Amino acid sequence: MSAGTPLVEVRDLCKHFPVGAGATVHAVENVSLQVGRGETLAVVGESGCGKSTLAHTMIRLHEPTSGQVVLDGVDISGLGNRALREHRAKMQIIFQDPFASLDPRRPVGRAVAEPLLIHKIAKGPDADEQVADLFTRVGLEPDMMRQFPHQFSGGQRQRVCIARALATRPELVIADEAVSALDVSIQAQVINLMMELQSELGLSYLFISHDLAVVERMSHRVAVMYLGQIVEIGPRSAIFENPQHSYTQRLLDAVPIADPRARRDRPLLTDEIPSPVWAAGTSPERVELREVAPGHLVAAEG
Amino acid sequence: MAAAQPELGSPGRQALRMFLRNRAAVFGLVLLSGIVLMTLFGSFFYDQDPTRIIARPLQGPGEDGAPAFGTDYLGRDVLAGVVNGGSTSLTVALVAVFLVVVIGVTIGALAGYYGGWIDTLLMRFTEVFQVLPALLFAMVIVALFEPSTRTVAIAIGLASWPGTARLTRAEFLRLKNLEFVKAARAVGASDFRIIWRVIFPNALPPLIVSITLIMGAAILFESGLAFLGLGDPNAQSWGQMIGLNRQTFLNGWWTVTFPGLAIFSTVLSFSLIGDGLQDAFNPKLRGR
Amino acid sequence: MEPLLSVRDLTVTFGSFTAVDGVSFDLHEGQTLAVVGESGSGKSVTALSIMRLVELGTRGKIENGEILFRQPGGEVIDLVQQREDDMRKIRGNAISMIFQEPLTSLNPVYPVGDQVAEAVMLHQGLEKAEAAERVLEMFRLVRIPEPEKRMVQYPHEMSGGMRQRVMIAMALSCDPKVLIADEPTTALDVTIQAQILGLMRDLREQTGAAVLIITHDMGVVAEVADDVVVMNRAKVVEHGPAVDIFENPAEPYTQALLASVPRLGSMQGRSEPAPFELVEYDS
Repeated sequence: MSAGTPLVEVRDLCKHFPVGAGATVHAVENVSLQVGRGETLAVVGESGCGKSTLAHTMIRLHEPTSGQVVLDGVDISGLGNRALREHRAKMQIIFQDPFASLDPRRPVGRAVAEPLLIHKIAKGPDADEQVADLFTRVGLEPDMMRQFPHQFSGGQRQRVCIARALATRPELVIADEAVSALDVSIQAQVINLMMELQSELGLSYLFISHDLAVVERMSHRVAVMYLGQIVEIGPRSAIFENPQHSYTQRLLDAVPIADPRARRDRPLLTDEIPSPVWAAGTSPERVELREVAPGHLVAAEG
Repeated sequence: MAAAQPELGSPGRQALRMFLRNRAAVFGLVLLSGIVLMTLFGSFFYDQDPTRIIARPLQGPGEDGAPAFGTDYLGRDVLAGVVNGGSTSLTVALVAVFLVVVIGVTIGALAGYYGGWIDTLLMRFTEVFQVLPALLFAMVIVALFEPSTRTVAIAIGLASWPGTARLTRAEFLRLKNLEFVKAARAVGASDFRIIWRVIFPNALPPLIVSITLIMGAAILFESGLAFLGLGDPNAQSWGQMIGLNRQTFLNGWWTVTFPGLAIFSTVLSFSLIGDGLQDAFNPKLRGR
Repeated sequence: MEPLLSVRDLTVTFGSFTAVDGVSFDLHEGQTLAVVGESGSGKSVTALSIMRLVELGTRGKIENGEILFRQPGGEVIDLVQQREDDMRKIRGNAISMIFQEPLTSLNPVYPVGDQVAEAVMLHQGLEKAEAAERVLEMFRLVRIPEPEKRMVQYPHEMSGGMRQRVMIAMALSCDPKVLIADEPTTALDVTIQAQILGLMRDLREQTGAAVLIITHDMGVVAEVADDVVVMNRAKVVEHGPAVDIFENPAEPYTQALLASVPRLGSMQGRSEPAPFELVEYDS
C-alpha cells in the first residue's frame, strides 16, 4: 500500500509501568509497526491490551521505556523538549471523550485556535480565518466558533476536536477510541468525515479501537494486540477474511453480527485475559512474528 | 458429593488484618490501651488518694521524700492525679462522641438521602448549632445546669455534632446516586435498609477518621472547660489539674507537664487509630 | 395468549421534558424483547419506569399510562398504581434488573456472596446458611468458576465479566418472571460480551424468565432478541419481529439507523476502505 518510506516507523517500543512492590505492568512490549502515508492502520484489542498506551507512548504523552519512534526520518523518542514540540505539530491525537477534552468555559473556536498560536502558524484575524476554514472543513458552521462546548451535541464536539487536531496540518492523526462514545448514526457520520479528510489531505491515521466492525470499514491495515504485544498484523482483508492467530479468530467470533439470521451458538466459555503484571525479574516471552503472506505477520503459538 | 459448607465472607477479619499491618495505628492502640488500663486499674497498683495532701507543696520529682511526679501547689500527689484524672476525661469524651454520632449521623444521613425540604430543614437546624461559638455554648449550658460530669459531656456533644452531620450528608449525597444504590433498590431494599446497610458502610471510612479526631477534640474540650473551672469540681481530671496549677507552674513545671502529656498521648493515640481504621476500611487496600 | 407484562401508553416526564411519550408494548412469557435506540431515546427511562425507579432520587414522574403485570398467582396488577411498599416486594423478586456498569452496581464494602444472599434472605426469608447454599447454586448456574472461593471476594477483586455474572446471579436468585437488562454488555470487552450474551440465552431456556433488554447496539439485538421495539425521541418508531426489523425496516428512522450500523463481514472482497452509505433522515 505505502510506496516509499513509511511516515511512521515504530521499532521495538516498550512501555512498562511499575506497580506496587517490585511488579511491573508490561503495557507495551516490543511493538514494531509502520504507518504508510495516506494509510489507516487500525490497532485492535480488548481493554488492557496496551493499544491506548501504545498510541500515547508514540507521541510521548508517556516516555517510552525503550525502543524508537521514527517520524518522517527523525527519531523522536530521543528528542529534547523544544525539538519535540516542533515535531508534535506533525502528529495529533483525538480522544474518546470530546467533552472532557474541551474547556467548558471557553468558546470552542479558541480551542481550535490554540494550536495555531502555540506553533506560531497564525495569529489575530488570520488565525480566526483559519479556524473558520477548519470549521467548514469538518462540517460545522463557522459561526459556531463563538459557542461553548455544552451548546454542542456529542458528534459536533468530536468534529471540533477533529478541527483542533487538523489545525497544525499534521501528517499523522491518532484516533484513540475517537468514535466509541458516539451514537451509531453520529459515529457513521464522523467516520465518513474522517475518510473524506484523509483523501483530501493525505492524512495517515492510527486508529485505536475495540470495535472490529468499525475497523473493517475504515482501515487499510490492522494490528491485533494481546497483552502488550502484536500477535497479528496485515492487510485488512487478510486479518478479517483469513485470520491466522487463535486470538484474532476468537475476537472475530465474538463480534455480534447485526443480522438475526446469522445468529451463532456460542460456547459457554468463562476464561478471561490474563494479567499483564509481571513480578520483578520476570517478563513475558517475546513473540516472534513470521510472515505468512506478503505483509501479513503472525505470532507463533506455543 | 459432599461439598464443603459454603461460607459467606467476613469483612471484619480482613479489616483487622489491614489495621494490624499499620504500625503507627498499632502503636496508637497500644498507647490508648495503656491509658485506659491505667485509668481503670491504676489505682490498685498506685493506691494513693489524689485529693489528699501528702507532702510539702511543689516538690519536684526526685526530691527527697517526693512522689515520682512531684507534688502540686497544695502538696497533693501529681502521679495520683494523672492515674485517677483519666476516668473523667475519657468518660466525658465517650459520652460526647456518642451524642455526636447519634445526632450528627442521623441528621446528616436523612438530609443527604432524602434531599428536598427535609434536607433544607435539617441543614438550617444544623447551621444554627454551627454558628454558635462552641466553647461559649458549652459554658452557658454548664453554667445553666449543675457542672457535673454528665452536663459537661452533654454540652460538648451538643456543641460538636454539626461537623459530623455535614460530613455524613456530603457522603450520602455522593453515594446515593451510585449504581449499587440503584441496584439495591431494584432488588427491593427499603429506604431504611438502603440508608443503614447499603450507603452507611460506604460512608464509614471518612466518618471514622473524623470521629476519632472528635474523640481527641472532646478530650481537649473537657480539659479546656475544666481548666476554666467549669468541670465537675468533685471529679478530678487532667484539664482541671492544669487549670488549678496554672498560677504556680513556673515554679513547678511537673504540675502541668504530666497531666498535659496524658492529654497529648490520649489525643495522639486516637489520631493514629483513626488513620489505621481509614486504611482498614478501604477494601481496595486489602489483599496487598 | 395474555402477555406477562403490558406497557400501555406510558408517558414519563422530568419537569417540562417528556422522556417517554405514549409508549406501548407487550412482553410474553419466555420472550426476549429488545428496546433499542440511541442516547436520549427514552429506552432506559422506560425500563426504570417498569421497576418504578424513575420517581426515586430523580424528578421523574409517570404522567400517564399503565404497566400491567401478570403476577405468578395469575392476578394482573397495574405497577403504576402500586404503593412503594408493594413495589419493594416485586422488585428483585418477580421482576429483577441488571445494569450496565458491573463495576459500580455492586456494593464495594461487602463480599459478592453476601450481596446475593441478601436478596434471597429479603424475599424468600431464607436463613443465612440456606442463603449461602442458594448463592453457590446461582454462581454455578451463571458458570462462575470456583464459586466457593468467589463468594467471599469483594467486587474489586473480580473482573468486569465476573461481576456481571454476579449481578445476573443476584437478579435470577428469586426466580423472576421478568428480567430487565439495561445495556448489560456495553461496558464489557467483546469476548466477554459474547460470553455473557451466550449465558443469557442459555439461562432464558433454563429459567423460562422473559427478558427485556435495553441496548443501543444492533449487533446485540440481532444476537438475542425475538422482537424489537425501536425508540427515537421518547416515542416508539417501529415494533416487530427481529428478522423483519433488520430485513425490511418500514420506518425511515429505522432504515437510517440500520444504514449506519457497521456490520462485520460487509467489506468482504473490497480492497479499499469505504464510507457508510447513509440514509438521510429528517428528524
